Amino acid sequence: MKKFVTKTVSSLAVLAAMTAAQVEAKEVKTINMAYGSANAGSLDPHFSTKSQDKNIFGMMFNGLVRFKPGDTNPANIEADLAESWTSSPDGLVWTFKLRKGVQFHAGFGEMTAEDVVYSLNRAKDPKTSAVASDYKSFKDVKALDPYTVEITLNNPVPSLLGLVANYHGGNVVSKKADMEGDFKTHPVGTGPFAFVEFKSKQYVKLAAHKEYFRGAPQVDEIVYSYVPVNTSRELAFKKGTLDAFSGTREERWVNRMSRNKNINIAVFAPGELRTLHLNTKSGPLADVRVRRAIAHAIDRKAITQIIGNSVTRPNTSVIPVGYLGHTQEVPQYEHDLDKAKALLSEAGYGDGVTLEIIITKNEALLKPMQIVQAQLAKANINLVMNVVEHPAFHAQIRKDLSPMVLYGAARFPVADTYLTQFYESKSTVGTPTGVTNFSHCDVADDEIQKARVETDQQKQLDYWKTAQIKISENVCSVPLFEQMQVWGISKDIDFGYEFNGSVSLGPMFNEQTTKK
Amino acid sequence: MLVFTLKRLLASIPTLFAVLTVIFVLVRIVPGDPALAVLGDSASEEVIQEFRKSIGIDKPLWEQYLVFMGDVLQGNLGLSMATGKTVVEEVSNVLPYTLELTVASIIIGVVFGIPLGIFSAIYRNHFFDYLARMVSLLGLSFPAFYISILFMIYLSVEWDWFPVFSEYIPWSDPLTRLYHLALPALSLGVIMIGYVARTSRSSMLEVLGEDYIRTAKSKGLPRNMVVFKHGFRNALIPILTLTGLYLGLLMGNSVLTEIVFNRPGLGGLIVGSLESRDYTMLQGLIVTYAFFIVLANLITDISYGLVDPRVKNND
Repeated sequence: MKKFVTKTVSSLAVLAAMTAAQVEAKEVKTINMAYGSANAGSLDPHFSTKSQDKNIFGMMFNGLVRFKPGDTNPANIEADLAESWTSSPDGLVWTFKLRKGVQFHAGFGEMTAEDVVYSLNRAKDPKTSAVASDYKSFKDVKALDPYTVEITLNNPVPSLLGLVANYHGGNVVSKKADMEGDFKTHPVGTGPFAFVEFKSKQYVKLAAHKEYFRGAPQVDEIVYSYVPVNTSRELAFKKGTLDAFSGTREERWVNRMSRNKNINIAVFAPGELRTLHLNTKSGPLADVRVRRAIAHAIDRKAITQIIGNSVTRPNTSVIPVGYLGHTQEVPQYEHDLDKAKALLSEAGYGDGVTLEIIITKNEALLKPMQIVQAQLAKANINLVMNVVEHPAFHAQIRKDLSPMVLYGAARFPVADTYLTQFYESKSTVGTPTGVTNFSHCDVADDEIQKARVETDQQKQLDYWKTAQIKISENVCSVPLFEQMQVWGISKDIDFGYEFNGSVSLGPMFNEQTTKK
Repeated sequence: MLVFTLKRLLASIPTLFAVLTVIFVLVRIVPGDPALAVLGDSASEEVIQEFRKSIGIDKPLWEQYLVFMGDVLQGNLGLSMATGKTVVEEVSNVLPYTLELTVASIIIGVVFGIPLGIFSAIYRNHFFDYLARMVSLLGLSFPAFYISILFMIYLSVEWDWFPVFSEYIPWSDPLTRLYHLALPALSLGVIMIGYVARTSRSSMLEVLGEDYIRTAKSKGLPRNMVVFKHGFRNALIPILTLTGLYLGLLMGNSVLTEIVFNRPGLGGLIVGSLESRDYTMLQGLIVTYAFFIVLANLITDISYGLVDPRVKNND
């Protein structure tokens, strides 16, 4: 026994010495980050629209153009794989001149027009892309020469640059890699970081792409772990195992974490607009007076005070702040219980209304819903809540089973995406073309469709404004507040640029990022 | 012995079959849609239908059931709906981690639990007994994730003895692998100690009250001989049975422990698959769990025969 102990101790000592020697030999700069989900959705940038995947795609892929690092404003989109572009006066033909000498990861060669054509066609095909419907207006994509791509459209689209930016279907993949290998398990792009390995339910490892066209990254590795337990992420950060982790989007959490001397709390755009969708076609809610009563009974200020002002942003429009086309000039429903009660009795519900609704267990939505429940009760509007698992919630609300749906989402920051998915009649849930129009809203179809193909930007903005006003007047939904993204990031990390937002919904480390 | 083992094996086939059917129905009763979970919430209905077709969940239920059963009989658990890899591959990647965690915590439980229980039975109502009972009660009443987080805060973050996350380490580096195993195994082991100690104590107490112990004592045999040869060997049978049964409990608790420590294993896999409503993966995982529980019962049955020849002869 004694011998065994001595042996173990001595081998431990040797091991420790070896590890120390290794660390000295090559200091690998690794950024360890963790997101609060159990696993990746898919590693294919055209296939997954989930937050944890977008974050990784953003560091691995480029589009023809890109959102300025740290910025989510589509007006500031800048050149990326394309050096320059022109469009025909009718907005139907777009020509992109590509940057020369851009190298794909893992020796897959130079990125050329062929890859761009292949990628955009891939994004358009419902068999290979979850966002195929965004590319319906693409008539033809062709390579004029190895460094020129021409896109022809069936009709003008609200933001063509958005469709070819570093987001969803705009990510350019290697044709060769997709044809030859298993792209879903070994994705190949041109971004600052290249895919190394994926351990299911554990992590994705990325390594610096030394031939990145903006220069080799200064960080060697990024390990993106999936850690669903909040406490585990926090403790791991405290110990120094993690450099960045997704936080709890509440002020209490921000205050508690701020006690750690080494943390920067990043609160950034895009805000996910928490909207209460009301089914305008059945039950008591079919009466617009009942819907207006609900709008008056809700006290937005009280909601954001509970969730916390530092992690939320007020908004009364049905389009999130910062989206192209957003306006605050919409009918306002101030908090007024008497008005709410008067509207209810006018509609014949003087004794009150009871609604049975479905809501997720997910705290981020359940909590505001509980606050709303308490507020509406004061106006005699009683909610009976069926609290279900998150995936069950998503499935059931899409089957049109809840007359009131609280939903939070961030989309591509152009009014059209939000209006189309949430308020155009063809997106009504329970129909074959359904997406997330839970309210059965159909009052602004005309404006939404006209704006989509309008080439005069001012006219387009006017259509979008009218659409927002009409939806608001009819109370298809009640926008409550915007929930910002919250991450805890070590002070050792310097983004290398000002980080205020990311369409990829997570911190985007690039070739400028450094770690102490 | 061989006939005995074969008989037990045959008896477990209907059990597995019933379990498979229940699993198939169960994962599909839970509301939710794998396609939606994989594609994210902005995917349109058309794309979702396309995906449903590609993973075969657009077919009628009976057809899916036949395909599933047919595949399982050939040892094929299908492809994961979320990742497209084979379920067998995904499960076998992490299975060793769950097994070593389970085995390690059983060892901890048995090594500390049995002596604790035996001595507290021998020194019944003495100070040591009270102390031992309190320790086992603590082990029994703390939820697995709570103990894990407590250990993490003190043993890992505050005192820096162990890593927070328990990672993939190849067996070519056994010491590091054990180092990563230690904290999760300890968290689960503490629970096991509680169960094993309690069982050992009550079993030992019962045996010590038997006539043959009195006889042995009155024969004038030394106390240690009475306690360990006549008492302990007989007390061991129920301890073994229950430890076998605790394996099921342990596997359940290992899910929580694995998640808290972000350790590779079936636990992380099962939570991820639930989140993404990955039917095939869930089926595969529950089949694996069921298999190991049946296996544990089998081993328990066989080990009876070894400890107590009466069991084998009666059969």
